[in-house]
Amino acid sequence: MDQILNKENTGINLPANPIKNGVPTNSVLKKPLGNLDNVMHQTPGITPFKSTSLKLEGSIAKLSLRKAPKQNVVSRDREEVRYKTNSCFLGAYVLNCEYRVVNLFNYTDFPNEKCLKNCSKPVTETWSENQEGYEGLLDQLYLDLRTLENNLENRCLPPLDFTDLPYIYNTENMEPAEPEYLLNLYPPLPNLEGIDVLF
Amino acid sequence: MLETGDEAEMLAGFTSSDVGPEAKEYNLLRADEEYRNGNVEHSIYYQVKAQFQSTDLRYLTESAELENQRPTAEELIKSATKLEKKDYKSKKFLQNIIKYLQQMEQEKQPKKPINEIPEYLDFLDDVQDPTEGLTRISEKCNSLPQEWCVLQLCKSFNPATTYSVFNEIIASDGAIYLTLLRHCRSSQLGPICLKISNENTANLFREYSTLVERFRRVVTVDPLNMKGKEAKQKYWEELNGFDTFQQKLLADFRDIISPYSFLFFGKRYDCTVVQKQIKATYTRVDDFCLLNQWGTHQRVLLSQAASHANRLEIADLKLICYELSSNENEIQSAYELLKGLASDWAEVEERQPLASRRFPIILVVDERLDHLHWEQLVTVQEFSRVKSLHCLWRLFQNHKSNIKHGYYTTNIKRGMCVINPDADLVNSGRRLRSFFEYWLSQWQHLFETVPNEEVMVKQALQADCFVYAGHGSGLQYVNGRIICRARVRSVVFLFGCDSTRMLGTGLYSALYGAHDYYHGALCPSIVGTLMPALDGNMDTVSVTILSRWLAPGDNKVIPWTHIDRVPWLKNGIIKGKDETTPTMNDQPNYHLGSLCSILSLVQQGKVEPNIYNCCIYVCRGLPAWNLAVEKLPL
Repeated sequence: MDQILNKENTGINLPANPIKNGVPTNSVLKKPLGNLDNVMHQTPGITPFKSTSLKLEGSIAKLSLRKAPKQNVVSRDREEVRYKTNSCFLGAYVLNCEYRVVNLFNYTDFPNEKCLKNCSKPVTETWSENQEGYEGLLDQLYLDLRTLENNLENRCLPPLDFTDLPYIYNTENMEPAEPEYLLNLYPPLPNLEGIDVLF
Repeated sequence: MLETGDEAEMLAGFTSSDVGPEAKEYNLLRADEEYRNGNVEHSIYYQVKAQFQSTDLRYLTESAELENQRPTAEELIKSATKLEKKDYKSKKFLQNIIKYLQQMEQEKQPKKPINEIPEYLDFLDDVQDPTEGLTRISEKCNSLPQEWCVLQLCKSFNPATTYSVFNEIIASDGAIYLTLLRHCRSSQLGPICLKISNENTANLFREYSTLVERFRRVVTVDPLNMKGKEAKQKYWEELNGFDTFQQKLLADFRDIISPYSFLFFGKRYDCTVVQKQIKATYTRVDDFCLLNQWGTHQRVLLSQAASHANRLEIADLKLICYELSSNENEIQSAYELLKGLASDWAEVEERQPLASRRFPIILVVDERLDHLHWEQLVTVQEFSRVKSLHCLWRLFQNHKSNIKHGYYTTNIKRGMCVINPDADLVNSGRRLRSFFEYWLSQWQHLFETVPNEEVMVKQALQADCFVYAGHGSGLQYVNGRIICRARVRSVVFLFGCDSTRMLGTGLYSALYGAHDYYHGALCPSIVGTLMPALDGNMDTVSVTILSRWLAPGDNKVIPWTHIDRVPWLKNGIIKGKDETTPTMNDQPNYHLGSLCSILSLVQQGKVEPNIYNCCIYVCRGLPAWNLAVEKLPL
C-alpha cells in the first residue's frame, strides 16, 4: 500500500511504524572517546582548584549574568517546532490521514444558553445534604424542636443507669485539683531568740 | 482553665495551616520564603504540601469508611465525667439526644469500625519539620516506578490575590516553581527545584486567563442569524483571529519555559544498548562536574540535557549551558560535551529504534497552572497529569499490581458509552452513534438517553472502559458524591466542553474538576478537555483516539484511517474511500497500546491541525496501556 505522508514528513521517506517494521541497521564505528581531554588542552587559561572555580556543593543555579542571545521570532508557523520531532518514534508516526479542511459550519451543533450554563457551572458542594447520624438529628432540630422533645419522651427505650456501666477512662484523675493560693503578704520574720548578739 | 499535659501535647500537633484553603496560601508563602533564604529543599517540602489540602480527603472513597468511626451512644455515656453525668440527669434536652442516637443505631446495621486510617491518604500528616518531610517525599518518589519522571509545577505566592476569586488568581503575576521530584538520577541525587520568572510571565498569565472566554465569545453564534455569506465569512475570520492569538500565546509560553523545556523529556525505553549509553553518559557528566566543581543541582540538569541531547537544537544547547554556568570556559566545555553526546545518542537510535521512545512523564500541576498547555512544550512526549503527589501516590498504591514498566496495563474487551443524553446535539449524536455501532458493536450503548445514577455507578463505571460524549463532564446527570464514594474500574473518556477543567466554587477556595470525583473513586485514568471545542472537531479527535486504542468488535470493519471523512462528518455515513478498501484483518499494526502516545499525536496536530482543536486534550491519572491491542515492547 502507498504511504500517504502528512505535512510534517514532506520529503522524508520513513516507515509507518519504525519499531515494528524497521530492521536495525548495521552499527557503524563508534567515534573515539576522549573529547574531554582534548577540550582541556585546547581551553586556554583553565586552572583547576583556583578559588574562582570553586563552588559549594548544592549550589543553586542563578540567573545567568550574561544574557543569552534570544532568537527573534516575529511569527511562528504551526509546523516550526523547536525540537527534532521527525526522527523519534511519536514524531515519525504517520496516522495515514489525508486531511482536508471540511467546512462543517452547517453541520455544527453550536452552543446554546443551556450548554453555556452547564459547561461552566462550578462544581457544587453536596456534602451537607442527606447525611446520616447527627445531620439527621440537626435537620429535625431545625424543623421542630418541641415536637422532637415531646415525641422522644413517649418512646419506649431501655432505661439509662450510669451506676451499672464501667468507666472507659479514669475520670477521677481527669478532674483537675483546685489549686490553693495562700495570700501571705508578709514574709515570716527570722527567729532571733536563739542568737546572742554582742553589742 | 489550663490544659493538662496530655491535652497540651495533643493540641500542639494541630496547626492552622492544615485546615482549609488558607493552608495553601500559608504553604506557598513558606515556599517563597525558604527559596529566597536559599533553603531550596525546605521550599520543595512546602510546595508539595501546598498541592494537597485537608478538604481533598472528602473526595476519597475511603472517607465513607472513616465516617463510620463515629462514637456510639454507649461510648458517649461511658466517657462522661461526673459533672457531665450530673448535667445529664437534670437536662432533658441531652437525654433526648442520647435517646435519639440510640434509636438511630438500632434501626441500621452496625458496621465494623476501621481502626487505622490508610497511611497514603496524607503521608505528610504527622510531619512538621521540612527536612523530615523532604526525606519522606524522597522515599515516596523513589518507591514509584523507575520509568517515571515526576515534575511538579507550582505557582508562587502573591499577596495581592490572597483573598480573590479564581479568575483574578490565575490572571495575577507570579513565578513558576519547576521541581523535579523524580528525575533521571533519583537513585543517587535528591529532588531539585528551579524558579522561572521574567518580565513576560505577567502578560502570559493575564492573557491565558482570557483564553476560554475569548473562544466562547467567538463560537457562540445563533445559527438562525448565520444564513448569509457575509455572516459566515465574519465567523471564520474571527475564528482564525482566535487561532492566531492562541498560537502567539503558546509561542510566548514556550519562550518563557524554553531554557528548561528539555526537562519535559521522559526516560528512554530500556534495553541493553540504552543502558550502556546511559552509563557512559552519566560517567562523562560526573567527570565533568567533578572537574568543574559543579553541585547536585547542576549535575542533575546536565544529566537530563545529556540524556536527550540529540533531541535539542544547537541554539537550545547553548541556552542550557548559559543557564548552567556564568563561566565562559565552563560554558564552552559543557557545550562541547553535549554536542558529542548528541552524536552518540543519534548513533544509538539508528542502531536501536526502541531508544527513540520515551516513558511517560507525570506532571503534578498546581490548580492555578492547570489551564496552561504544558503538553505543548514537548509534543512528542507522553504526559499524564495529577493534582498532587498525594493523589499520585494513592493511585499508585491501589493499582501497582497492574503497573508494568510505568504503564497501568488493562485489557479492554467490553465498555459502555453514553452519547448525547440530552438529545440536542443532532449532528454530533449522529456521527458518534454511527461510529460506536460500527466500531464498538459489542459495547453497551446509551444513545439520546439520560442515564440514572444507578446505571452509571453499577454498570458504566464498572466496565473496562466508559466513554461520555455530550455537554460538559456528565456531572449534571450523576451526583459527584455518589461517584467518589463508589469504586470506578473503567478508563474514562469525557468528551465534552471543559470536561476536566478545574473550576472554583467561590472566594479563593480550592478548585475541583470532574476528575477529582473519579480519582477519589480510584479511577486509574481519565481523558478530558481543558477548554470548550467545536463538536465536529471533537468528534474527529474522539473517534481517532478510540479507534486507535480500542479493538473493534468485528475485524471485518474498515480501518478508520480509510473511512471517507466527509460523508461521515456530514451525514454519519461510514464507507470506504475507494473500492480497494482494506479491512482490519489487513492492518496488524493499526493500534497503539499507550493511550498517552495517541494523545501525543493529537497534541502534534496530526489529527486536527488547528491549535485550538488539538491542545486541549489531557490525560489525568496513571498512564494507561491497553494489552488487548498491543503488547508492551519491552
